[in-house]
Amino acid sequence: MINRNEQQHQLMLRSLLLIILAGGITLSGLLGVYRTLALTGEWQDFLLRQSLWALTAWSIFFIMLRVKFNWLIQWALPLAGVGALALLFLQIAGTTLNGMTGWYQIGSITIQPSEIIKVFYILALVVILHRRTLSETARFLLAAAVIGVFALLLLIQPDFGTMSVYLISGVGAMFFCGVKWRYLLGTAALALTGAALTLLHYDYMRYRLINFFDPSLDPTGGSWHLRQFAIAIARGEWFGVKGDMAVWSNSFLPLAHNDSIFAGICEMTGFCGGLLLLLLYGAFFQQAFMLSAWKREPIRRSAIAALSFMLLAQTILHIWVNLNLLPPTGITLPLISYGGSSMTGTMLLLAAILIAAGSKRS
Amino acid sequence: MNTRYKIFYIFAAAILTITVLRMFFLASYGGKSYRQEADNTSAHHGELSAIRGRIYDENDQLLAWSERSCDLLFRAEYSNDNDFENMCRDLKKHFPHQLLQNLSRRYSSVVKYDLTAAELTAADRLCSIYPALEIELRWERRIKHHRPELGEVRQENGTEYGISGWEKEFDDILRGQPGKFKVMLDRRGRWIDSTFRIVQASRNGQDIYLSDEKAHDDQPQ
Repeated sequence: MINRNEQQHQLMLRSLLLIILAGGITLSGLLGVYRTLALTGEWQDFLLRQSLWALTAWSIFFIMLRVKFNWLIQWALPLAGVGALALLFLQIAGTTLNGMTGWYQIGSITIQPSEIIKVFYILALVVILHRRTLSETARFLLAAAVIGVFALLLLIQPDFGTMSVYLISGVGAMFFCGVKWRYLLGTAALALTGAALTLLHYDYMRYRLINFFDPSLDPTGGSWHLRQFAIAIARGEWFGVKGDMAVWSNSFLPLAHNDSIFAGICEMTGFCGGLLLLLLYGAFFQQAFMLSAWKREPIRRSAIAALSFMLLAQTILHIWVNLNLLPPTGITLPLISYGGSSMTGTMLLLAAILIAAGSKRS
Repeated sequence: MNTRYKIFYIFAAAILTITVLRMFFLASYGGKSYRQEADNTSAHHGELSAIRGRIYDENDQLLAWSERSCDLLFRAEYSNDNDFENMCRDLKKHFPHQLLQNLSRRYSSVVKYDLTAAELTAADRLCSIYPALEIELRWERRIKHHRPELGEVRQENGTEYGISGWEKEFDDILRGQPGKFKVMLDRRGRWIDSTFRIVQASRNGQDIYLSDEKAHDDQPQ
């Protein structure tokens, strides 16, 4: 049996390690953004903006660490509600970019609310699933309704990538909060039905899926993105292309500094560089889940696991899309991809993980 | 450890294994066809023209030599309708003596032959703004004292070939050996300068010294 002091010591150590690993990943991201734009002549501008976003996100992270877990739990549901309204209000006052109404334009800055409110969405699910005043069925139905509402709000943007992250993390939150297996399987079946209906409704999504299974159908159209991902990774071979030869990341790869950054990094650093990045993420998530395993209070334990799972789901989706293991959809790689909203959203999730891992006194 | 955590760790390990195997596949033999496709799409192989040798007369006076010359071209296929007006306005500013009213957005044409050093600087800046503008390098055969026996040259893929007179007679000596280069092109088919590599260096042509109207081959100078 481990005593309380030993537990506190372990939690402190792992929290510190988690912050250091997050810092390492952020720096790798800055390097990745620079190298994917180095030949285009735009890198100074993007690197400066990304550095400012990183600085802002890390500042918000350290400020948020002062918030107490009880406060987070108390305000999770109202803040998730505000988040849902922010997503709904996008249909009236949102800005459309690349066919998706998912941003608010404030001066020269665009903010993607779906990235910022992730933390409150997960915390709201955790709060609902731990509310002992409700029956188990009622808790499950309420949580399923929250997942459904957020998925619907993202579908109308339409942002399939973020919707997938929300759906998978929602099911993940249920899993870590101890929801019965039959309910979990029911939710998964419901999510699959929803995905099938979405495919029926959106022609281009169906076309994307058909091309994913048969890339030879339309090599210059439907499967063009897929081929660019594969070419970029293949060009990297074992140690990456030499010198300034990262042509694919800098020219052919769509949004190489954002939704395709993993493929871009693989072109520049090869299999070894990609593996190193995977190991860095692996160490990060291992520490995060160990924090969860060390906690005794069920709600804190579930919160840490569910929040970490959301980051993990996003990371895997991004990497698998880049590796052509999933149909192409726009998802950022946490802490690496260019974008202030994604960076801030990730740091808020990390702050919530560390707050949940902290003791009642600290 | 909680059963759910155990299930999760097994699931995570499976995901990681699939990810690493897929990366390994693409980096090794599985990526061969993609690398080939990349090379076919983006790699551009070209000839590095050699400098044509000079011709001297019997008194060692220079008769003919080659010089690099730069032209500014308008390539209609890369023209953007929105930018055309702005491009014409900027061209007028830097090349006020050219007949730019003849420039049509539908047809490629030469904006200015033989750019001077100052014009080259301005043209280079304009090319970085407007993708439809391009600087083309070529060799120009200059003649100091015209003699009918000298003959003429014609250009083909950046190399000068003698087609008459001494230029034709001593073409093998004067022409030299062109080199080879490789450069990567971006999506718009434009060179990415930093990827330029010389695969095989060019060998310049040798100079010719004429003696009593009878030319002979001499060592290059």
